[in-house]
Amino acid sequence: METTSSAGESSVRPITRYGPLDSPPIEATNARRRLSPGQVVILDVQPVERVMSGRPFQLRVRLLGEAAGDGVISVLTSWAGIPFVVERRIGAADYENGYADVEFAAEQSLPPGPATFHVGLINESGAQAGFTISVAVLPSNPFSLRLSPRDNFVTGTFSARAVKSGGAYQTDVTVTLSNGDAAAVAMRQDFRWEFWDGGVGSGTLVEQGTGQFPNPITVGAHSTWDGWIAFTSPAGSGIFNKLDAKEDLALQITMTLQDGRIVAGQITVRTMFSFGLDITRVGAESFTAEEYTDLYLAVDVTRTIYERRDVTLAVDRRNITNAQAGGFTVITSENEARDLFAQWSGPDNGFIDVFVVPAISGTGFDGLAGNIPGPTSHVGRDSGVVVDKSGFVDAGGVRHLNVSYLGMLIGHEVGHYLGLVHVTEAGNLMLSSSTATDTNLNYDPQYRTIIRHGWVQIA
Amino acid sequence: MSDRAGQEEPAVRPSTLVSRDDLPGVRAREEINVLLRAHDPEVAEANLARLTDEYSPLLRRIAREQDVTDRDPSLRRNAITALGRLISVDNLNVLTELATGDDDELIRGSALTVLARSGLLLAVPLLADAQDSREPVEAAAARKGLAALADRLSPDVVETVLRRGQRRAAPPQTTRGETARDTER
Repeated sequence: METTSSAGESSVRPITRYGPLDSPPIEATNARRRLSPGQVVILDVQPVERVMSGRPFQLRVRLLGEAAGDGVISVLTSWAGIPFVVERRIGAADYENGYADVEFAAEQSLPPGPATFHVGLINESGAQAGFTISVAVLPSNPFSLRLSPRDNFVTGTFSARAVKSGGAYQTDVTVTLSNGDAAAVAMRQDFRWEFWDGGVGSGTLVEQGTGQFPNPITVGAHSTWDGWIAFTSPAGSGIFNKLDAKEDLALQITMTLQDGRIVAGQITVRTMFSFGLDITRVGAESFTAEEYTDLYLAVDVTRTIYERRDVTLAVDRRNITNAQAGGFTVITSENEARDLFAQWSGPDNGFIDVFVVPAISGTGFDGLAGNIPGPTSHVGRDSGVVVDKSGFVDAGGVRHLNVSYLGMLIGHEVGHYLGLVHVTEAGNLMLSSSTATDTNLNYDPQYRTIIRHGWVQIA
Repeated sequence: MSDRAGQEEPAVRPSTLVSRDDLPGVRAREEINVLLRAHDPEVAEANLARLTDEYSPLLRRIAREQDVTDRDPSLRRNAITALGRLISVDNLNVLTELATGDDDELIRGSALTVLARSGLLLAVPLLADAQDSREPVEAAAARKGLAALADRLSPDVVETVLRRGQRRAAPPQTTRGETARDTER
């Protein structure tokens, strides 16, 4: 039995609004109409020029403020390495100009690949504004191939997940071709794949093969192209045997430009530990269609947080109607949260109950885990976690959930259920006051604690 | 077994930070943001206890912030909770304004819950009006608030105020059951 591959093309993304959770630009006239004295708004953030690898660059922060006073713009950068912060002070002149440029020096330049900038602004009146933007950092050299897990927008170091299903392992990756040149690049449609046990070229070649993308490939000037490759490794294949023995593999994809040049990228492929979540909307009719979509985008964020630490999660989508939920749509105490667990935990599927309620009000907290760790049963007042749905009304009057925050919050409370306690490590998911950008999990003790929970198994 | 084969170890870039020494307003906002970002009950209680009346002006500002697309949604709601523990005319005015006029039913519901918790009779007519809201979360918050007030002040006192509007302090009931699988996609 041998591994087979199939391939396809993904939709094109603009390189300066590259991420799925990027903020939409705000129209200045509308924002000005709603602005009160001392308030500030970030209208948009864009690179002054396209961001090229290994080179300094600037982000232009378009802002609006009335009698806003001095303040600080703070840019948290998520990229292939450890997140870092670039700040600059702003004053009246910047508000008059309508923008402020934040400089990234040579030592803060980035490698090719996606980068996300979380831009915050606080001024002396205490007003605050925020904006998130992602860009594709283009290769200066000027062409590259990058592999990442399929369907996850990732900026850090990731492995691809091999999932056992129906007697075979399935491994899906995204292939991103990045062109930093002013001329388009034509590619051959075929690709070569190799799975290695050990380093590529230095370990043992497990399986190899070729495949083909369905359509002609041209990577436009200063842009990117995304495709996907899905591998199916049946029982008896070399890859199946290695993955089933919990071995990590290195995958290399090689492609050829029409002019004969070769480009290649690598990623680690591994089986992951896995747990399940019953995502239960409490008061189902209280969630709008937009909020329903946002909820499962948030769960994707939670999955990405855990997969970065090589633990994945399955989801069962569940609900309780408004009529059934009654007073549980608004949780006003820890006691009520525990009543919710006692009365609605289940079904008995070995998944962790995550109750997403419209509001936790008047308590000062927005989440709660039944216990640390939570039980491996659906019985009692400890069995589950509850989170506020993190809803808000946007400038257009549309109800939404804060996807990145809710994804973090679910991850935080599930982390407690899996045995994690609060920490003080900067950027960690389990900070007692973690925010949307605090999503790291460490190996020891956090990963080692998670995998010991009775509901965590090899995927 | 290969270790992260084909991937580089995470690299590091230096941060460039601005001193807050002569920016006390920025510093205060950053401090209060941390106190208002509590995920779990034991942390929330400790943080709320640290929010004394000197924080009230900033709490009122945060509670009234709109267009919070890229901010933590808990900030506004927890600022409302904190204001409910710092009873003053200014704070109650803001809570009343939010309970009756905010665009977001979740904010109105939070303000109603907090006003009910204050134990003040002025909350009763607001809660009575809101319990008929077409927004289910706002209505549930109001009904629970009325019931909580009745527990705290005595049912007779609350019923006396309610009788004028022909309403009763009846908390929404909860039931026991099994969650249903979602059919929406």
